[in-house]
Amino acid sequence: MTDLFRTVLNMSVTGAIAVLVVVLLRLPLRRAPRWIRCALWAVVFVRLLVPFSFSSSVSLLGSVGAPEPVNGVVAYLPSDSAEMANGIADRTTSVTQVLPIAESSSENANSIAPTPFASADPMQIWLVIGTAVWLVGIAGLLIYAIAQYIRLQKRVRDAVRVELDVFETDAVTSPFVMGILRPRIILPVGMPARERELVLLHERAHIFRLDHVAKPLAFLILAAHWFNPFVWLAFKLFCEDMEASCDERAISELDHEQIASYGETLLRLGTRRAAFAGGPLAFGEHCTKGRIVNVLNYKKPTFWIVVAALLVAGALAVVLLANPLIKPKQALEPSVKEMDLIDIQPSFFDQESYDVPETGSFGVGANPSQLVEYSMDISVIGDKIVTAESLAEFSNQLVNGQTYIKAYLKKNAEGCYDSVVANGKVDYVIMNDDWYSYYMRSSPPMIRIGKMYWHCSQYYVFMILHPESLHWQHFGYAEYLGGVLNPYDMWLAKLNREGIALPMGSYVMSYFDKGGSKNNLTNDDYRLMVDSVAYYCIQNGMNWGTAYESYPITEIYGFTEPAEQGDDMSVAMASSFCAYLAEHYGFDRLTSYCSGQMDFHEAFGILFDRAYAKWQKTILKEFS
Amino acid sequence: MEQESNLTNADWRLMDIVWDHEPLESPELCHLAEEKLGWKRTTTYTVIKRLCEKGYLASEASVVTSRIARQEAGKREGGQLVNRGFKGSLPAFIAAFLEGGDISGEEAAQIEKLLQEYRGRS
Repeated sequence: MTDLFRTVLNMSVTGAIAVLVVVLLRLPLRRAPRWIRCALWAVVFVRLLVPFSFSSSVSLLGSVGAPEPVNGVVAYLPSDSAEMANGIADRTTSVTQVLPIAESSSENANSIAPTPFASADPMQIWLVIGTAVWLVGIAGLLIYAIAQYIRLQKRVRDAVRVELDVFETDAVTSPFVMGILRPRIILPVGMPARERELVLLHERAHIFRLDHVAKPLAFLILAAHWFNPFVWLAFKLFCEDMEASCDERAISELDHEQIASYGETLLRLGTRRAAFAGGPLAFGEHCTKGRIVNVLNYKKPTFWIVVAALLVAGALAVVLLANPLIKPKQALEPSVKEMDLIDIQPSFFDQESYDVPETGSFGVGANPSQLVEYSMDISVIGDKIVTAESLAEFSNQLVNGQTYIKAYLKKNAEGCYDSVVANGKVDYVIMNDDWYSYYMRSSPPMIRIGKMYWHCSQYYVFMILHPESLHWQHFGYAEYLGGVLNPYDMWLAKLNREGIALPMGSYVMSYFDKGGSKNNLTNDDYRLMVDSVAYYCIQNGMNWGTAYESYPITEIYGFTEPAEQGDDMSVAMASSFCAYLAEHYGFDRLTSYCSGQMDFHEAFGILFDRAYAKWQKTILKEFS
Repeated sequence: MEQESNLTNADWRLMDIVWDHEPLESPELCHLAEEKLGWKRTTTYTVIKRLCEKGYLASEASVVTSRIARQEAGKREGGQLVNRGFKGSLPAFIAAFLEGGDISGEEAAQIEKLLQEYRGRS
């Protein structure tokens, strides 16, 4: 609930700016038809209602210094205290800080405050109190409006039908419209026929323009922003503009004489007005002097005034609705100096057996205790005769690819990289006759999603999300994923040679069916590959954690224990799912999620299970 | 003592229906009220109850009848209007209508005829 309040606060600030602009613009638009002004209020109300918007370089909010939007949302208030601690430095440029932001120490910035009052973060406490006050205010306003409406309804219940939607009663002294689904015009009894006709013109204009829907809607928005005086002003002016629009519509077909009577009618209704204007949910015809003057001065706006006003209003609508454009950041390439690249020489493989270096000269952080001795038959791998040169080349590619990714992440996505480090990371180690495998150092690099653990580090996510910036071919995983296509993959090659029908094979078939290439794989091919694996897994009811080692391969190679964690499947599935999330919900949200700033629901606005099911459906549809 | 008449517009409209159709059963009255006045059943019952309390209607065994004739009710209402708005002066009341120009020549002749008949009776 505090999150909602925060969202509303942010919208309120944006909305106040929009109100001010529209108030100022009403002056030059004086001669224009009033409905254009009403349309401008609609823009304001959209800003007050919808947190998301599109981005444009001509955004007015940009020019008044609003912060850059995240996920299409302009936030003056950071979304949580941790982000606040990180973001406070670069936020000092933003003009508006709605609430005082407490300096949070790094300890409580990292803690997830379970009970707000136990939290040392004063900001959190203020937010909770503020939220409570806000909710009480909303409830008060809504109760007031509904009570008012019920009272009015009771009063006019025995109004007598005179036309299809026109009712008469002596319980009221001035005409109005009430009801949302079936609007009724309520008239006082005994209006002279000529006057009644004029009044009906006006009231029917309300109904035609759907004002009876717009006004309660505007009131709801007002209720959500009750603490904002600008919104009250907007509501008041909006109601005035609505009345004036209806006046204009009503008199547009009247001659001079009739317009005079219309003004008289307004005056008469105004002078005998009870202290009753219909409440926020109905239309009381309160007459202001301004309205009469407006009616009497009415000139049909010329075509060109209408066109000019439309252009001005349209431009303003775009400018007001748009969020400041985020300039896409150019990804920075890490320099060679920033990377700890290795250069394995072919001579390294020119031996039957060798010791592993004590220190992790093979990539970063190889675990020496796991690697005591290698012996490797390098002459034949699968059907291929592999030279020491090609092995060296591949190893360099494998390890340096990862080094590159790390450097890239560190340079371009600081938060994400930190979270990878915090969660443990994937390191490649050349081991035994398995040829290679990756080994999770302390704990697997897990992104927790719902109940599932992903073996998907941010690397995979980035590979798929930033294909233009990352060099797939640098990254060994991609080759690994390439499985059958990879001339170095001993396991699969061996299975093929032995003619064992491989359940895994079907993903390759989908891959080729869809036109994946065999050589010189592109990013699209890799994407297709992970989707093919995902398709295979979904089709066979395999889930995260299903190991392909637990399939026939396990028996063939005599693994006594089927692998519990399905590294291979889950990685491909996670990659496919990540790519899906990024495509459907945006990269920003995925980043917020992966870096731990938000939980899944917060980041994507959908529950994990729903998103997961939708992704499965999409994949199935794509391949079947 | 003359009973205070305070019929609202709604009361009059329902009384009109009763006078035109009585005696009639209350469901039938509801039906007519819905058709002619756009009322819900509950609204009609509320107004019936109000009129019973005011002594204008009687509702027995779901048959509704008026307890006062249309003319009598009109007389009460008219008398009150003259008393309240014109300090009891009937000529002032008529004059207000004539000034307003709301009375046509034909209607004026009708009124004249009524007055003459009234004189003849006394």
